Amino acid sequence: MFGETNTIYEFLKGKDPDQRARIIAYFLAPAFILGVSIYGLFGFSINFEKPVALSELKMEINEKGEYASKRGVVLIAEPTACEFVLPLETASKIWSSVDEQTARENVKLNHLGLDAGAVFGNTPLLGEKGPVAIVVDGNLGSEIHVANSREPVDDWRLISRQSSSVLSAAFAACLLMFGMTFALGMAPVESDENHTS
Amino acid sequence: MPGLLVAALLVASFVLVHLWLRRRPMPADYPLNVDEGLPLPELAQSSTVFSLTALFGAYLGIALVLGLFALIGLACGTVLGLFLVAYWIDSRYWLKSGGKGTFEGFLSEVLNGNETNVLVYSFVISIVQCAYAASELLILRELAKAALGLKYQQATLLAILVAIIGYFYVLRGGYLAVFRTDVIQLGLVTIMALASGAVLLRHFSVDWIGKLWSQPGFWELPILGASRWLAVYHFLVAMVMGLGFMLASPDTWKRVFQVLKRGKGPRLRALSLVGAGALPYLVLLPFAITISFRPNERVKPGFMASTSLSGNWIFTAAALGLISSFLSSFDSAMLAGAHVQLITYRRQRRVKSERLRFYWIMVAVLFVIWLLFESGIRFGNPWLLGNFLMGAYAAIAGIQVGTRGNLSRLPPYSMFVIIFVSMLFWLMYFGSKLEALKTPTIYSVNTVPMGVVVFLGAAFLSVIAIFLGGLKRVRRN
Repeated sequence: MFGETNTIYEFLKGKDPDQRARIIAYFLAPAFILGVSIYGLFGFSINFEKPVALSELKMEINEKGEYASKRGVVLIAEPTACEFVLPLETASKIWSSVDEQTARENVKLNHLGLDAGAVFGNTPLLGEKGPVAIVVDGNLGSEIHVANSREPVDDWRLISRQSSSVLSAAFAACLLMFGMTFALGMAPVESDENHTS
Repeated sequence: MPGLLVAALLVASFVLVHLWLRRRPMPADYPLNVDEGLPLPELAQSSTVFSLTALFGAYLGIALVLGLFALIGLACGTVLGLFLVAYWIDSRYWLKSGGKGTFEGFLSEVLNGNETNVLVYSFVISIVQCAYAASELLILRELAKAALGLKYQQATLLAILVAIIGYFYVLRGGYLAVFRTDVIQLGLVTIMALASGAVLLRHFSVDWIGKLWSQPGFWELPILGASRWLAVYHFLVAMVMGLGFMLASPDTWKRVFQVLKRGKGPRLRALSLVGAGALPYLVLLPFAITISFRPNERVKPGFMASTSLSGNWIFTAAALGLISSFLSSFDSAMLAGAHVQLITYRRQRRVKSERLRFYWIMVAVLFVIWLLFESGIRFGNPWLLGNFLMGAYAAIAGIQVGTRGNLSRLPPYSMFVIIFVSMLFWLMYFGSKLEALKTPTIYSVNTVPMGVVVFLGAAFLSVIAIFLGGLKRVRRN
């Protein structure tokens, strides 16, 4: 970190005051704020989506239209590296989108299963290239254990694709503008006293 | 689809700014000395007032629980504020300049007088503008969570991304970018308001009579109680609030200046100001009459999201409107804060080219906004900062009224004393209510009458300071 700071300092030292101000205003200052914010919010990950998304199941409806309370959780596990344990009260079985052969191998290697009232997983699951859906019965707790830390379940809930597309779009637009403003802002500006409208 | 449209809006607006700048570049030496080529200042003004301030901020809260009289009071106060600013510019500067002045000339005239007074005043105005921009960011983040369904981290990142995009607009295009994109943004905000308003009117039954009157527990009169004077009291308090916001906002001064500069006849000018002042409240009306909730409940920003945002097009309209609405007021506040600082520096040391100074000030403004935003996140109530700012706006507006817009009348160092006393009073009051204000409830609008007391107090202190200063001068002579 110190090395990078020193490199930037040395780079800026060689510039004239006008160029230095422009580089800082058009690039370094907003990049610093964006970088610190992303690091503070997501760590070193550049993936704004969680590797596992949760959705709580609360009730079931039969063909007569009668409904009854039934608790459970749906997990959509992305094919990215993640180890998680989700505590659930009264969890007894898993229902998944993987086939029997794949399930057998993953259970054998402890990549998926139930243990002491919790569902655990180690993604990506062997033999699966796409996202995997997992349904577990039981009451959802308030925390999920991921990589030796506990996080609120609310941060891992499923969000709609149209919502996340707004964030991705804003991010893409922001990056594009970084490039555009830097290129345009670094173009020489000639002093013109008569140009003040 | 919504994401694609949001990206298209943000990038296309920026490309348009670039194309406009090729035809009319920013002045090389004085980047903010731009008064030409800024279209439709009235609409830009409406857009800024209607933005998050009206639609998701204090004005909607007032309209919801205090009824029609308070809403009319806000509208009248806003219109009166615009007329007072127009009169102020006209009498203090425009006539003197023979109709050939610039907004920078007017700002220099405003920031005139004792050195310390000017420094304190410009610092307070700039910091209030930065805090206003930060409070808009906090509200945007909350709405992104509630209305767009984003998670905490994602909503925070969205707010920061849009803030950086807004910063790029201002840095690259200054006033030209703000005014021209305001027109596009107003169009999108109007579509969002019409779409959401239509959905709300279709899905909710309206209690027209009930909406005329205030709910109990808000802005109660200490002695007269619930008499007919209560409506007058609500009207007056709301009027002072609307007026104060206009008097204390340099971006409003700029827009009114542009209306004056355009030089249309007095009748058309008056009509423009009335239209610009009243339009945001007309658009707010469908929301105010259809939304109902119990005051004791925690404010849920997504209260109108569940029904109205279910359709893809409505969601898209809401996402575009929300981001546009935010950019409109955020950019205006950011630029106003930077411009006041630029003129203050110019007073101290004039340089041939202020471009370098502009860059540094913009960087400083961006960092101040970011730090305020990061601090604001720690509080559970995203409206807390905006609520606190009400006192600061009231103090600035009070000084404007007390000095009749002429700061040079104040004796040396008195500005510091007036602001210190006003803000200390407001801080003490706010501190006593802080526990209750930590959670977002609609009862936070009950701080508004005390804001009016700050306004009157600052005006009174300014008059006293001018009087004492005059007395001292007479004695010395």
